[in-house]
Amino acid sequence: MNNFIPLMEQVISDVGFTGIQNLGSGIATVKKAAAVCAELGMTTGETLCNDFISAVNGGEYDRAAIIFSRLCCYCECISG
Amino acid sequence: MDRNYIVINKENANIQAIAAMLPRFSEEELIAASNKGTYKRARKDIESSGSLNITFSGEPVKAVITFSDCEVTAGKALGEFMCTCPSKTVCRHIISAAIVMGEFAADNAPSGKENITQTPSKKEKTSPEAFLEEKKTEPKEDWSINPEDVLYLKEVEAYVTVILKKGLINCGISEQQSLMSLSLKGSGNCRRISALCRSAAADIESMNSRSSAFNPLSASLKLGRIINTVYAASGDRGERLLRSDDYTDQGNGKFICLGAYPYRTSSGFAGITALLYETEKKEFFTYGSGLSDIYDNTADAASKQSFKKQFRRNCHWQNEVSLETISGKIFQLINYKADSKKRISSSKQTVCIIGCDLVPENISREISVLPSPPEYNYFSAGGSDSFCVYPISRVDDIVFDTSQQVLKFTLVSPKENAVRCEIIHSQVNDMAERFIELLAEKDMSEHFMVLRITRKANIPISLMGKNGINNFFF
Repeated sequence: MNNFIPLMEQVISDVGFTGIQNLGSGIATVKKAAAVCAELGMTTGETLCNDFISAVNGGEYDRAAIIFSRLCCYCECISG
Repeated sequence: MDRNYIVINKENANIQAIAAMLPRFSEEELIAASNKGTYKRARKDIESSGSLNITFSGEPVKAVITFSDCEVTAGKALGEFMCTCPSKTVCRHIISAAIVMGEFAADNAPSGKENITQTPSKKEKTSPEAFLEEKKTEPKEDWSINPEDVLYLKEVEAYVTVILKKGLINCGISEQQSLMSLSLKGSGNCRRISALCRSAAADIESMNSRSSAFNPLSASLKLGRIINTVYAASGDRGERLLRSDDYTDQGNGKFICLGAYPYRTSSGFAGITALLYETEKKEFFTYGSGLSDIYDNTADAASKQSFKKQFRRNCHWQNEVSLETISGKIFQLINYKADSKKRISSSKQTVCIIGCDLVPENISREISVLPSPPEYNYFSAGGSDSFCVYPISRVDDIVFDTSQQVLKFTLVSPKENAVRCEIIHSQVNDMAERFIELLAEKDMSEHFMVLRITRKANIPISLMGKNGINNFFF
């Protein structure tokens, strides 16, 4: 759990800064976050990360932006 | 309004046609773009200046308003106004120029065209603005707010989505100004979104000026928050989520001022919050006082001296008392107003009658109990801190955490209960940090520390002792 929040923060920071369209290899961090979520049994986080990855890979950037926003909310609510 | 203008019309253009094109801003928009103090100062400047030079030149025609110390080139949106003064943000000259432009437009408007709206210039298809225009035609959904606000929210959502897609790194002055324009547009009915847009614009500005204040995480979270707030507002929670509370009449109340502390928001606002305790309702209230000239001289406006000056400024309520005067005093507020977050207004209809000094021992027992931290609410716009007056006997473990840049220390009560507190290191908090460091190994029995309990930390506000209140932040 200690690693999870910094990892999620890293994902949010990277996506917001570089942009969903320009994420490139940055998607690997999201995949890592999804794996950590799965390991910790955090299904909401895992679903959000996986949905985000599939939206980015499918070129659905508008949907990815909405999922990213939910991910922000999720991260803020968990870290309090 | 008839004012004495010296108009230099270099292109011999039709003044009525020019007046029709000039932007007009409401008082509310101008205050939202700066603050009440700057707006008042700008008004005062205009009133005191005899005549104003307005030069129209170029193609398309540009208006330049000349003041004694600088020149302002008018734009279509407030974010497009350019001033030659050193201020990097919306200074009082820009506000003055916007007022003058509005008055000039009203004085010279062609008859029957009082409410002329500007037609937006055509944008490139790939620009976020073009994307916004396309989005405006989307059908309405399940909204409880008025359709104009819904359109505004959709604009904001679309624009922020575009920013998220291309990334903050690819945002410049254009995105910053567009966010400021969106902030102004929402300052009437959608104040929360308006504040978030303003803050996001400030983030882009600090990123582009390579300021250490830029934090990519908080900037990204803010963009996410804007979209989430828009989505959350689509149900029946719209009104509650988007608008700040209005002040309502509370009648008269007897208060104790327990101290004051400085604040500075991410979007650049700064000021002082005074903590007031209502002795009859037994509730804490806060009273905020903004630094009115923060936009005039951004480099050092929020310095220690400015806060100190503001703390001592006699400008509050009808009889113009200072925060320093009421600190540690029992006083009465006649005809005061407050909102649901227990924030008292600075209404000039409120009269403050100062009574005797506060005797710390008489502080009621219930406010000496440390409350639990406030519950987290993602959609709450802050202002939900708890407060208490904590009895102390000494201050232990004073450590400066160099990695977090925070001064951490422990307050030990006479019953040996320990409370961990902290002060974030900054120029404004410098005096408080030094004061706390001086308390090490001192016998502090019969003293009380006034504490602000936030979700993340317990932060001291002032120290109460036999000699009254020590506002160590100032």
